[in-house]
Amino acid sequence: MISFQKGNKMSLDQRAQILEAAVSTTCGVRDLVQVLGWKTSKVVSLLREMNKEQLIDFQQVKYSKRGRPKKNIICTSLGFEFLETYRKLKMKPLRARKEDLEHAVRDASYISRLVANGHSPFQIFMELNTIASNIKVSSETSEAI
Amino acid sequence: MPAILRSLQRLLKLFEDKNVPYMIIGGYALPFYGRIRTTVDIDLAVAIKTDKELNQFLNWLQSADFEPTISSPNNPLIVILDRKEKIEIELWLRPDGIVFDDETLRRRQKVQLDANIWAWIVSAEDFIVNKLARRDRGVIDEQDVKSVLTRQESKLDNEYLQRRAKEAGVLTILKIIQAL
Repeated sequence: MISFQKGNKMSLDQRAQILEAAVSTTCGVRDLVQVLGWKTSKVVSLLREMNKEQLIDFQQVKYSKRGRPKKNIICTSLGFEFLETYRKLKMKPLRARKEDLEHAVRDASYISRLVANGHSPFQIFMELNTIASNIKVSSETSEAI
Repeated sequence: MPAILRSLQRLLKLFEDKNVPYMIIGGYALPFYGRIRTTVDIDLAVAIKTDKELNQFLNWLQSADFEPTISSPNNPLIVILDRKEKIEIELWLRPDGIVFDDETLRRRQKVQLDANIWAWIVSAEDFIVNKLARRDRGVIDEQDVKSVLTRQESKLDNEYLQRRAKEAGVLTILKIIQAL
């Protein structure tokens, strides 16, 4: 099982994007940079990380002529497993239901109306927060009694 | 003035005095761009890049009565306790999805929190990307994003938003929320 370190900036999406590119065609680092449109340094560092996680391997190309020997990126069996799971999860990336988002639109429209009527949203937010905090404190006090 | 604002006032003054670039992110930035909901978390992003800067920063915090309770160079988050107000504030060194570069800092907004308190808050676009890139993203985060997309509809820099969302790997989810 792969465990991803907390604070690791590399997202699951980025891992999946690299793996998708690696399985769709034979590619080296330069090809990957071109396909993804990311900075070379970023791609190299992500590949190193994924190699450590055993999601990819590097395969040296024998026919490479001049310059630095070319290495192709190979998706490992763990990489394939990751990609398959990711694809399944990708089918439902949204946590909210349509109704939840409609609720948010109503909330936002209400705030727009408040602003139009000269209210400060931050001041209302602070007042609301203070009330919520007072309720919390008083409920804790009554529990203590 | 509520204790939270008193605490923020002291902390922001420290940042200004020491020239630490910062911006308010999360629930306290939300009322400026989207809906209003209560939150207990005060989140700030601070641009601290090296271990040396971090050590110096922690010393400054302690000398101003803010006790770092959780901090390590590899942790993207520092939790500090204001000894005077007994309030916890979360300081993000690497906020999810946000690249702390000049462009991000340039796009911050200066807002008024109270009669005498002005503060930098994250831009609406970076706010959206940060919310979507959260590892523990939930329904509330998606609702927050939708509320910002609704209220800021005509003001958002879509080119910037899409670029940052793509970099953070959250472009697909952004498009889905935009479409619904």
